[in-house]
Amino acid sequence: MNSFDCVVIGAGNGGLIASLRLAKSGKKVLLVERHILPGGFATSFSRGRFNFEASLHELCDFGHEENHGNLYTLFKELDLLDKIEFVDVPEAFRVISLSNKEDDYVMPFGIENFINKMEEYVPNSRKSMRTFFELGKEIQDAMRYLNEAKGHPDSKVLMKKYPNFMRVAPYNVDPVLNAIKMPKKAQDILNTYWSYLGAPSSKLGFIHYCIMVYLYVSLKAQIPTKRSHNISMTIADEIIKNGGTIYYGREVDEILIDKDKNEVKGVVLDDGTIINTKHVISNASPHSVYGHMIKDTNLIPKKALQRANFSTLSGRGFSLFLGLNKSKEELGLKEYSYFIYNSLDSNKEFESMHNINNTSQVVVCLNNALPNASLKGTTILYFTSLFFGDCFDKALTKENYFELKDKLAKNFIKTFEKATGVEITPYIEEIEVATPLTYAHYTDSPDGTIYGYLTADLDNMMPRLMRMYNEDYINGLKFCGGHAMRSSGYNSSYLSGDLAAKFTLGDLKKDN
Amino acid sequence: MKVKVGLFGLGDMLKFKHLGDNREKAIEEASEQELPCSYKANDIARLYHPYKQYLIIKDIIKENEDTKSFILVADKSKQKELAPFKAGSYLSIYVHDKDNSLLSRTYSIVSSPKEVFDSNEGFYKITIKRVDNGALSNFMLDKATIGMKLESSEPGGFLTYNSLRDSKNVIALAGGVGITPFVSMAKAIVEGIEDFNLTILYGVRTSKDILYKDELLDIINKSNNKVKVIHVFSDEKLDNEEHGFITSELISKYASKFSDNSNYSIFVAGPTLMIDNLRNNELPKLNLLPKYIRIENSPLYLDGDSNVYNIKIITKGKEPLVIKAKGNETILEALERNNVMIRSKCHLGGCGYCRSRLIKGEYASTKYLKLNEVDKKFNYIHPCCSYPRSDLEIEVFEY
Ligand SMILES: Cc1cc2nc3c(=O)[nH]c(=O)nc-3n(C[C@H](O)[C@H](O)[C@H](O)COP(=O)(O)OP(=O)(O)OC[C@H]3O[C@@H](n4cnc5c(N)ncnc54)[C@H](O)[C@@H]3O)c2cc1C
Ligand code: FES
Repeated sequence: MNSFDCVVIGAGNGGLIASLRLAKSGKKVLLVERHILPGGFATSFSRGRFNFEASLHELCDFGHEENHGNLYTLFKELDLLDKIEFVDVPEAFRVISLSNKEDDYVMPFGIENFINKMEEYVPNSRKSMRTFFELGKEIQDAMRYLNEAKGHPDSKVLMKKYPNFMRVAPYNVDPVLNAIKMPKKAQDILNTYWSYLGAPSSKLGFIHYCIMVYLYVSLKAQIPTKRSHNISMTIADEIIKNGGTIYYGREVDEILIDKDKNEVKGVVLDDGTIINTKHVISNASPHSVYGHMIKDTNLIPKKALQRANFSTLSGRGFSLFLGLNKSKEELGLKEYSYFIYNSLDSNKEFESMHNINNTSQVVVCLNNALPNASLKGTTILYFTSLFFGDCFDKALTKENYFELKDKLAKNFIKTFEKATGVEITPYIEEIEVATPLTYAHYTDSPDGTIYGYLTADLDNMMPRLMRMYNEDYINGLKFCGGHAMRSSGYNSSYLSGDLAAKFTLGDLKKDN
Repeated sequence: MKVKVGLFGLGDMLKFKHLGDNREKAIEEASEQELPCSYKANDIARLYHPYKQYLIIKDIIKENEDTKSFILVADKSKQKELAPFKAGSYLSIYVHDKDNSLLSRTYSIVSSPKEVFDSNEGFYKITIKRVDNGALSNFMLDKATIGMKLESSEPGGFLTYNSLRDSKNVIALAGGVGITPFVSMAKAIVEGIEDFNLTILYGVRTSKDILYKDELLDIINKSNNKVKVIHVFSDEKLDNEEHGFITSELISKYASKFSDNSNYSIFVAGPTLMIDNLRNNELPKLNLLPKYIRIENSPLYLDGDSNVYNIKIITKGKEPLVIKAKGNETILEALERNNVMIRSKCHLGGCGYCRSRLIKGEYASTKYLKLNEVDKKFNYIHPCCSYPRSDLEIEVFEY
């Protein structure tokens, strides 16, 4: 009875897709989620007259039937597409610099539109912009090839077909943009999306950033019409319909390891139930698994600890959710996403985010993609930011949490009003603040980090992918989600769940 | 197109090939130290949002004939500290009855937020008024003793002050034991934890029914004019005191006394009759925007079905259980009578803590039910405000 082909720890995006893939492949899978809702960060919540999206700004790598990305393909394969309705986000972004009033740009979707607009803002940027998007295309093709080659690419094919990919792959964003002679101002505008990945352009792998921008601009970004909660609930429902089992409100306390074979032999739940299994896919981070789920630390291979210590935890999340009692037209909010930075230089910005008083922010006006996201005459606005290092810990005491939340909320709102010239404070009907503490509470992510491990230097997506076949340290234990091989983001965490499930399917074949 | 980043294009290609090896090398050089088993944000998150709280009744205070207050402290064998809260919050209290059944209800915290940090011993104070036939209130008033253990949820609720949202001037409309959240707020103002002007219109039947009379007087005196309490007696006429029910005229009269005479927020807590009257008749006359009105509802009951139904309860990993449930009790009550414990907080239908999945059957909910579209589509229900109308099969998540 209590034995499963695979136990998946955590029903975040990664864990959900991993479970669905396994269930659809006829495997007996148990998904254990400590919360009573699926989704991890991917959920919604209500306050008064408003139903807020908890995290999603925009899906990447999705698109439409005629022009689509990997996530679309995955959802199609898993029969999810017709069950969830999506709409396009209207524009790529508006970026505003607080230190220089003239730095205020709105960028459209579509490669040609994007290049033309950039030329308008930064004359003589066209050539380098075109090169950038051509690189994006080549990277996309190369990544497909690498994926198909399953860890054994033919270097002759790579050199012949994807030479530019090979040339830029080892580098971070800054050196490549300089090499293609992109004017500094164009680099600054182009780098706007950096905070979605949470690492500055001097540390962020060029491949990762370029493909993300390429996918957003060429496929446009989408959001589900009924919040990410609908995606999570739909996947959970499909898991059950395909014979999988979900335990909600249960935590995995321990992963049992067979010492001699260095392999997984089961898990223990918080009520003491023992589940036998040889395969575990953890949506919880390696930090959590090695930090508290393997009780006898002697059973953790040294290499596994090194692998985890090699990575740095990413930024800690801060979000602010506002329900306003005026329409977006009355308020004068024309764009969907506002990236508001102290300066457009991502490296300086990253440093600023080590300070608790920093207020750089990405703000979404949901009604600009979904006019009916809230009742007529009202607007939903949500802010996201990151704190790096220990500045949040330093500001937080056992007693001051509510006060700290208020103070941070005020700072962020003031900055938004200053940057956009739009007054919102008098119209706040509902307000909710999520801090690293909130994220720690809902998902148990270490320190309330929201983007897995920092995608910096050798821990960028490319090197992670190149080594993903070699980084199993305990037989039967795989990771998915923001800390895994594709790093964070909805698309990456969904795709990582699929990869982890496929690896496990391979292992299961070997078992028999 | 040919992109060259390094000095030699070919070098870049080799570099790509070495990317994996370099990563491998960096990992080999990384520390072998064990990973932390706790983090500050996660520890404080657990303090603020404990999974469950284990409490002991430290003291019982008789407030009047049918009302008692309870001082609750942490059961040190299971929990070091109490979860902090914003003034105006409530707890869902769980009591295990002798005959192996469970009862849970929501009670506002009367003590000040500061008192959980009391250096002597942190505590919550709750006040319970007897409700005719009320299961938990009668149990607590008649049977609870000092030293008794009980459990509770984390603190929660939405009748709390927010300086960005609410006006600096708040008129609280309290009926009967609905005064409790406002006592906590008044204390928080005096202690400097909250900063707003609070005028409480406190509706009571007679002067005998006033709760916290001395305590409130003391607070008013210390509040530097920020806290005011006006009693509104419904069944008694006294000189220089308000008489009747709380009306829009009365609210306007006291609203005009705020020194800056600007706008104001209204917070309401009290019995359903009073709330319905205010919501339907009095508050609309004031023409306030919805953002300036925050109401904490009292539980509603759906009567009228005295049938007994079978509920099949599915809990993953356990054998299904079939229980009897009456048409005039909530599904949550039926579960608890059979000692099935699930999460709950508001007991009204809005917080989602009791969220469970309906597999089969018909049910009816009170008008306070709040369920998002997606949960509706997937047949989730809130058992705290839902009554069986046929035999049911539901999946619950144990607590
Ligand atoms: C405010 C915000 C905005 C964002 N905006 C975007 C965006 O616009 N676009 C985008 O692509 N990405 C965005 N992201 C990032 C994206 O949400 C995450 O990268 C993604 O959700 C990560 O998914 P995951 O698979 O890592 O799972 P997580 O969401 O981390 O879920 C892990 C799950 O495991 C559970 N769990 C942990 N330990 C245990 C245990 N021991 N037993 C049982 N269960 C356990 C947790 O409860 C949780 O449900 C945003 C994130 C946030 C917070
Ligand atoms: S306890 Fe809040 S909805 Fe049921």
